[in-house]
Amino acid sequence: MSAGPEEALLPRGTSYGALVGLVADPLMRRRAGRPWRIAFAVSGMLTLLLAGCTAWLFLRGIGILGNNTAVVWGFPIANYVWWIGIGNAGTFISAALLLTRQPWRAAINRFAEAMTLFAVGIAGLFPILHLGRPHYALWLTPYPNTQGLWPQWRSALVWDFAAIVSYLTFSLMFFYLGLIPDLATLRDRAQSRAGQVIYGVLALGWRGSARHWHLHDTLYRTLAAMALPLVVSVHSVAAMDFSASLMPGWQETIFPPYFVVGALFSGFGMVVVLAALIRWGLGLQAIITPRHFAVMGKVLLAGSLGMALCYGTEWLSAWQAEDRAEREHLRALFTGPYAPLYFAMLGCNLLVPQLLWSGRLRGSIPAVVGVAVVLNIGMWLERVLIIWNTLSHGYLPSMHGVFSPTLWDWLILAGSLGFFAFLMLGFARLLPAVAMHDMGKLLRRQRSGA
Amino acid sequence: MRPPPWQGPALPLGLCGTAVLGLALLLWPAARPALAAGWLAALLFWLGIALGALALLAIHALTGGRWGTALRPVLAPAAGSLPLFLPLALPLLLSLGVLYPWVAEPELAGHPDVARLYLNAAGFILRTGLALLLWSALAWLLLRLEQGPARQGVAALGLVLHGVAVTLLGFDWVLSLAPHFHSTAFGLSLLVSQLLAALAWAALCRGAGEDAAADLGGLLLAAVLGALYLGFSQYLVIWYGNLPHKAAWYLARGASPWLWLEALSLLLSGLLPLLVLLPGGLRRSPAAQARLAPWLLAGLSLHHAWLVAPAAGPWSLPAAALATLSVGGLWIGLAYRPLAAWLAPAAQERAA
Repeated sequence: MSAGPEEALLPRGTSYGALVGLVADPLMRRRAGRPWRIAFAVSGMLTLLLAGCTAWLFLRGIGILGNNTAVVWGFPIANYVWWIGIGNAGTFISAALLLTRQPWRAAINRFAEAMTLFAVGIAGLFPILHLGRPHYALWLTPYPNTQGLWPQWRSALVWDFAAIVSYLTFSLMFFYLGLIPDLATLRDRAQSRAGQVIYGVLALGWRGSARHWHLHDTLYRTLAAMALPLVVSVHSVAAMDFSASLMPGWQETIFPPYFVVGALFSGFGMVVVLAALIRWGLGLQAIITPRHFAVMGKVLLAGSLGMALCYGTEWLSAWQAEDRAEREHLRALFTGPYAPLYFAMLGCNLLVPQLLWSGRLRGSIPAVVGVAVVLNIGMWLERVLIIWNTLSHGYLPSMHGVFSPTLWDWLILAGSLGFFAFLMLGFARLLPAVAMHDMGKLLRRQRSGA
Repeated sequence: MRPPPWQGPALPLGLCGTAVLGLALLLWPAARPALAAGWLAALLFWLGIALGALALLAIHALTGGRWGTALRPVLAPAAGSLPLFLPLALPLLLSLGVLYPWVAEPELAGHPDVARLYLNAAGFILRTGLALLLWSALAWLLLRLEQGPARQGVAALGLVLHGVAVTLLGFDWVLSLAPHFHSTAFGLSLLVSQLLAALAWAALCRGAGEDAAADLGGLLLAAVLGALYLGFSQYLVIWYGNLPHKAAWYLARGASPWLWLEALSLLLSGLLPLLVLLPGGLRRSPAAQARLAPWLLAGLSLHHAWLVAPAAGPWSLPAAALATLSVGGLWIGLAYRPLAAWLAPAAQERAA
């Protein structure tokens, strides 16, 4: 609930027209540059790779992946949790920063929300990919059928499906509602007939009247207030997939909040990386400033410290547990076959972000982006290790087994990253990557404060 | 800001309550476990307000915002009073043997390593003492330092240490009453309920005034939702797992009269605040907040009794009621008169 000094967030002496031009011109008046074309082509190929791998997976079955009888969830569910974590952050950032009146929100909320939509969509693919019989994914929905069968509502997986679908629908609505005034701006600035018609239809007849703004603000704030519990519920329900089982290391009450903290941590990390790319690619240096990165650096540091507290609590609790399997699990984390990866994960998530205590490093965009990339690798390792460590050392020693990913596992992961990049690149050329009307409000606040 | 309620008779009431408890202890030695559990429930409640105030001051040092400036006159004496809890914790530390089963039977701590290195009387006293000293030092620094990089550094580091200390305190003070039970989210849940308690305390004293009332209402709503979320998610995970040593903790607290205690607590500190705080008009009204706050605090106090009292039997409930009066009386009487006066010039300087 704070409104800090805003002088460094917008260039001095700028006007609303100049701000709109800065954001809209790359879409309407400038052709895509060579780097964008190359990136779009590469990500398009990776998307095709994902489609090809998926087709092969459906034809041959999940035997082509590294999943085995011990580590049944393998890469796909780890990827799912990682992507849904990234998808958690966008709507949360946008809603929480709106409700707490953070002026730096305006520059980052739009592409963060787009990131959410794409990441949640991709996340939703993975559980289906690992089903083995993907055509039965339909059974997760409470559809009317002649056999009178209903999903088992005591299963965390059914709730997870419902949570993801609700979140995706909600995030889409929230994203679109925030976009309407900007779509009207694009409609008014479009030079081609097609642009005028498409943006015009999407703008739903927005005229920017006082009544429109009043209704828009009321609805938008209400949705933002609803978004926060929803965001928390999504990753909590994903955590319940794990903690509802009785496996050592998973049956932990801290899992729901711990997954939420981890999701915001990795999601913020991804926002930092995207902010740097969009700033560079669309020439938005005047709008996305080093101060934005400094503030996001502080959030990353807080996230890392929150993760440290969660890890420490887990270790202490497992060490105190009477259950032999819990203590064995703890020992396996530090000395088992995945121990080097576990130490790498701790380094990425806990040690490297501590650099951000330094104000000088927080002020350096490459440093903050570097930390964000490292922590996203760390968070991916964490998701993978949560699955590998527990499932490799269950209660039955005869069921102990190590997971080795196959080429297909890696290709599907690379394909999903490519697909995400493909969608983000398309977004950056079709819709304003920064909320222009929010920048306008910020400008008015800055002027009235001056 | 209004003075806290019952500030006038607080100190005599606190002293009388403590004397009655002391007398009960002398006349009826068999009631020692119930009296100790009652004292623990009261300590958790009042210390929770002070710790919540400390955490809010630290959060405000990092985030800024007018709510923190407005609430400071209420929060500062609460946080500044933390050293008082060093003597107030003494009765608990002197009753470890009657309250915690692992003192007499170290094998209950689980693995022998745990009993030797961690869950023993010396470790308990050391951790409690260090935590209280840490909080006292943090409060002193946050109240004395001028806003700037040094205070922000203290606040950031302090919040991390606070998270660790509250987690350990929650494990030691509450969960080790049933040493087989572990809930990793308990510390976090305690931390959020402390924030809620401090915000409700600020609402009771009308700390926010008209300016920051909307912010206080929003923060209260968020804290209520957070506390409900963490409480429910712990229950859900344990219900779902249905493992004997974990379920037993809830089964003991699901029997009469404890179930009714928690149901009343949920009504007062969960449902009622949601009903009052969801409509914008009420949420932003300092008068509505002040009327809601005593019920909310009563609900939190009942929740602490629900956590602690089943370990010592139903007689710990009247003991908890009396101890809440005693600890609260001593705390309000000492924190809000001498301490508030001592902190007042510093608070005015900050406001200026």
